[in-house]
Amino acid sequence: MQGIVFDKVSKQYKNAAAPAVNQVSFTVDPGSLVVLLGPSGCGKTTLLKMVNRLFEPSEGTIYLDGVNIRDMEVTALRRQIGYVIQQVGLFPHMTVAENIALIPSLLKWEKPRIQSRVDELLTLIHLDPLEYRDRYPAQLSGGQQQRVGLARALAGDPNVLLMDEPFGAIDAITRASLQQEVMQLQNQLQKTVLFVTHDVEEALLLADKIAILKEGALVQYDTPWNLLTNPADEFVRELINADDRIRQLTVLKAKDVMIKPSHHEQVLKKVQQRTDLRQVLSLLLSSPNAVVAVTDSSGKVVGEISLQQLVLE
Amino acid sequence: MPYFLRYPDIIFKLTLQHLYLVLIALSIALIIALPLAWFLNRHKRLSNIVMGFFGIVYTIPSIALMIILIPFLGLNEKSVIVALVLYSQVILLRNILTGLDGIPKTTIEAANGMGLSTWQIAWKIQLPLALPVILAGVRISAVVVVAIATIGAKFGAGGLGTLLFDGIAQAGRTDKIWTGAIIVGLVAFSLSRLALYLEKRFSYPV
Repeated sequence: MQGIVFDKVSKQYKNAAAPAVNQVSFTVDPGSLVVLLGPSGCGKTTLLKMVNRLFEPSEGTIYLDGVNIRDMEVTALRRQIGYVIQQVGLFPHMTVAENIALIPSLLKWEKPRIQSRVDELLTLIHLDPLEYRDRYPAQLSGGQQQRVGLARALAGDPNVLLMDEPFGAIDAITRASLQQEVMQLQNQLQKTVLFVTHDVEEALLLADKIAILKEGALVQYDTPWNLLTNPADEFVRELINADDRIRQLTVLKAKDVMIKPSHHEQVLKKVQQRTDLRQVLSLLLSSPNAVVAVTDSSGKVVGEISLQQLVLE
Repeated sequence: MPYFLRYPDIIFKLTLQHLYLVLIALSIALIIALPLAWFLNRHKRLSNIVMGFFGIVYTIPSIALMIILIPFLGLNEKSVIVALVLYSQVILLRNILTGLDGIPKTTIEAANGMGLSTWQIAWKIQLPLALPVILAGVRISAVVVVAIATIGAKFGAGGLGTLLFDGIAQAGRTDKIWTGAIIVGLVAFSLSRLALYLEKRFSYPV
């Protein structure tokens, strides 16, 4: 069994009346981005931190690629999991390059390989290596620091990334660009990502699937589309504001509603899988009888969307 | 001719003795204080007790402390060095603890979550982050230790205190007292400058 499997995981803190996490079971498929969403105190961060064993579950088991994480040595487990936190946690006495190089050097990579990895990652997060390599964290903006935090988490080339409200302390404009970047990176790298947020828009934008938590229990685990169209209860409906159809169009993507390509004669335009539905709708409104073709990153047509689908769904 | 020009060899020898006392005492003090403070940082309740104990030690007059130690260690430099180590503990421990406390919890959590071992966190993260504050403690205790070490001359440890006590014992030899006092001052000043340089050298932008 690949990916991350939560099997009836509970966490009871000492001196707490109710468990922080209560009998949670779900599977994060390899290469997918799953968002843990819920109000403060719902147990989402506790759940996340049990994956790299900053907390140990009171009950239940977590498997990583089929292996019970309790059977792994804790530092070895953590070194194969990238970890990004809200306060960034860059080490202020180390330069950007040293911060990124820390895990590769603990993993005993060769020097030249580490150096090229640092430059590769800085390029990936759009910071010029020549300019930023030797800066200290205090000499970066908040957004740049979090980019470096992301690069550091990716440094050891982990399959799994844990992101604990990574953009919670960042201004709205920078946050939006970082979210776009995470989407791009995820398209490129296909990591298995567990992402904690209380920001519903962020969740709908980034997630392949969202796990909605309430008072430690898993309320619903589904794709953004299914959550919006089929909320399990009032709590979910209100949390994700399922009644606002216009807003849904801005956060849902072409791949969420596309059907198998029927090779319709009137293809209006090709869009990417992650193009939002508002753009799709706007295209279709100009020519109601045509369809929009959806292509994957290689340009191959993988689906299509008609106006009817958008309206009926 | 003034005293320090007539006997530069004696003064040089005494200065070296003095430096030896100070540096040995400071090194031992640091070797004790670093792991002790690291341990106390993880056990806050114990920390209060230990800091209280060294706080009391610090209030014992230095001559009294050395005399108390003589039955155990003998009338020699050992008693002096142990007394100096005990005196510097309060300052060093307090500064190392302050340095460790000043590291944001999230920094340690990030290090933990990334898979650094406890030892690696101590060595690669906590020590360098606390180093400027630790060195400030070294600087302050160096001055204190240089001053108190002069008393060592009374206990067979030699050092620049010899000049001071000789000057007191021999009528009309204020030149010895002046020489001793000025050189003690210079030693304290130089060590303090050195520590200040290191403090700057190991600081990082925040």
